[in-house]
Amino acid sequence: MTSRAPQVLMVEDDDDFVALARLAFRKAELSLALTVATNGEEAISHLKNGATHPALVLLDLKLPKVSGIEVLRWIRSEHSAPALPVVMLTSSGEDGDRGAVAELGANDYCVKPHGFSELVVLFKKIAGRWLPDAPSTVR
Amino acid sequence: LDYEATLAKVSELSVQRLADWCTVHVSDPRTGVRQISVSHRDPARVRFAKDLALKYPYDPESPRGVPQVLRTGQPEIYPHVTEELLRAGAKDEEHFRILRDLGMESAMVVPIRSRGRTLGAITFIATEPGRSYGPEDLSLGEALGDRAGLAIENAALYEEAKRQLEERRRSEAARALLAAAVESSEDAILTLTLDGSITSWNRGATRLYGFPEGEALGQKISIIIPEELRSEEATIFERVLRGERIEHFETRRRTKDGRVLDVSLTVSQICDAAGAVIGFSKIARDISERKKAEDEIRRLNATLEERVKLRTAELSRALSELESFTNTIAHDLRAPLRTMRGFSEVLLEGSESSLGPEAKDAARRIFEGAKRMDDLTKDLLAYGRVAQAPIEPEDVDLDQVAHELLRTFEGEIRSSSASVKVARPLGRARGSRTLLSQALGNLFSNACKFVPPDKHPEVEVGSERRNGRLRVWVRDRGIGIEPRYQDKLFKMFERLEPGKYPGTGIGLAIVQKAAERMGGRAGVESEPGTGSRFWIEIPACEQEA
Repeated sequence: MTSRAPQVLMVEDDDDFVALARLAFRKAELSLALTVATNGEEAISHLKNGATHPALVLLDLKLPKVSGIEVLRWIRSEHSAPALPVVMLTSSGEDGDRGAVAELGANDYCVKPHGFSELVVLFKKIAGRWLPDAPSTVR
Repeated sequence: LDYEATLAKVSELSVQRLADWCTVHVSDPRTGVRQISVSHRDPARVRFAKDLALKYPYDPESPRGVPQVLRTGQPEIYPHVTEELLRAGAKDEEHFRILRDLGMESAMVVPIRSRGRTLGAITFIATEPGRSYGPEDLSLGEALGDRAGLAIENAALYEEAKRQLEERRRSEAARALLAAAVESSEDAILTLTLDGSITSWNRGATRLYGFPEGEALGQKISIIIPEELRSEEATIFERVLRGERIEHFETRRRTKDGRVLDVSLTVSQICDAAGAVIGFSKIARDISERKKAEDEIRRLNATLEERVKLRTAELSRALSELESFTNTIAHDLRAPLRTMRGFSEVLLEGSESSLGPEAKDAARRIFEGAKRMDDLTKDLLAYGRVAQAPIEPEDVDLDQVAHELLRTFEGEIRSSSASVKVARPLGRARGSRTLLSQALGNLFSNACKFVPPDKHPEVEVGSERRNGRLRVWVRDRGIGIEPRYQDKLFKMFERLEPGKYPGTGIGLAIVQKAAERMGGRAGVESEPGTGSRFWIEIPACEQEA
């Protein structure tokens, strides 16, 4: 079953959030193959060497080494699949960041919610929009 | 006057030697002709004679006697005083009788002369029967008249001499005073001839320029003028010669030992009695100290500007550091809170949880604590933004702000079954859209929140104009606030019922700060049990005011 689950690349340095996200995906009954990169450099090298072929990238803005914006710019300008959907998932609600990533071609911009149930709702929404083929674990 | 005593004496002497009766008249340019002395051999008759002079005053028109002598300067002699003569001289019948009863035998009138001018006359009258004045008597009388003239002249000369002496004394005193003032002046005061030679030089000039008076007198003024200012000096003299007065002209002068001073000059003409310009007077004041102070002020001003620039740069650096610090708080502090909150929520989820009631209670408390800290962080950040964000006043349509507000609070309105009324139009205000949304949002959220548990919120939003300002209010039918707490309410972290109602105690502080930043204020009218009306008042739009 997992082989047919869509791949999602999550670029996130906060492993607490990654763990919470995994729980939220489960709660949302989404079957995904989640690959995690903990910084921008790692994310780019994953995409470059074909270690993963994600259907969606969940990209944090503030990352060690190479920032989320750099990763986004790289995907749009150098990646073999420049149209890859990228949803920014960040704790910053700054309008400046929002505008900058929109200009670079981010598909969506979401602020990390603070409650677990809100996170579940958000993931359902993102999957519904960008992963229409994601099979539900529950039939 | 002093000579009158002398004349009285002449008259006294005459009645012993030359006459039985003698009068002296003096012509005074100021008072006219006065009879200054009457003598009679019989002192009892003097009073009678004086009375007579009062009764028949001096008549300048009379063709004989004293008036005639005063006019001509020639003596008159009447060897025999006849009745015809008396009648011709009498004013009336009574006068004639009196004159006749005087028993005049002979009379003569001589002038009192001095330097060809007739100053008065002496009248001699003989009553001794048979006495008749002859040429010898007349020359004696004339000699007396001349003597009297001399006395008057001497007296006048003496008076004149005394007056001149007094005048000279006074003018000398005035001159001495003036000289002392000039001499003791702190300013340099000097006078020059038309060709620039120094004719006077006070102590102040010596002090200022270093040349003693003896060295300066007779020298050209150029000894104290720096080379490069010679033409300026010539221009000053030209202007003064044209009648201009040069006042507080700032220039430089050179001292004997070569130092250059800053001075302020006042220059004017000196004229002689006929009004011709004969020289210049110059007053110079040392303003070096003042100049130095001015330069110092200018220098300080310049460095002040530099220092302000530096300080401003420092401040804006500090401000941007603070902003990035704030963002760090937003990001880094809230991330662990999210973790605590998220995972405690997972623990509490019914189907996932295998926890006992005590552990569940602990998880709930962790969840609540994290949530509360997250709210506080969020509100503090909001307060920081409201307090610091740059404001560019714009015209804000409050109806639009209210419309957006209702959309933002859609969820809360639904979940609390609140009824909301907006009294449109709310009007337009001059302020910041962001701050207005934030402030009204907080008020609206409070109105939904502070309601007794058994009631649904009833919220009304309205506005009113007050003297060019717009007061926007949010009314609730909630729990209300006692008057004594109403002021406290807007202070940071003030909460009236922390246990019963949620909140961080920052919301109203944000409202107040937002109103202040837009040049307005915030307030509340409230009664416990019936509800509150919170308002903010800010400038209305110009077209609205």
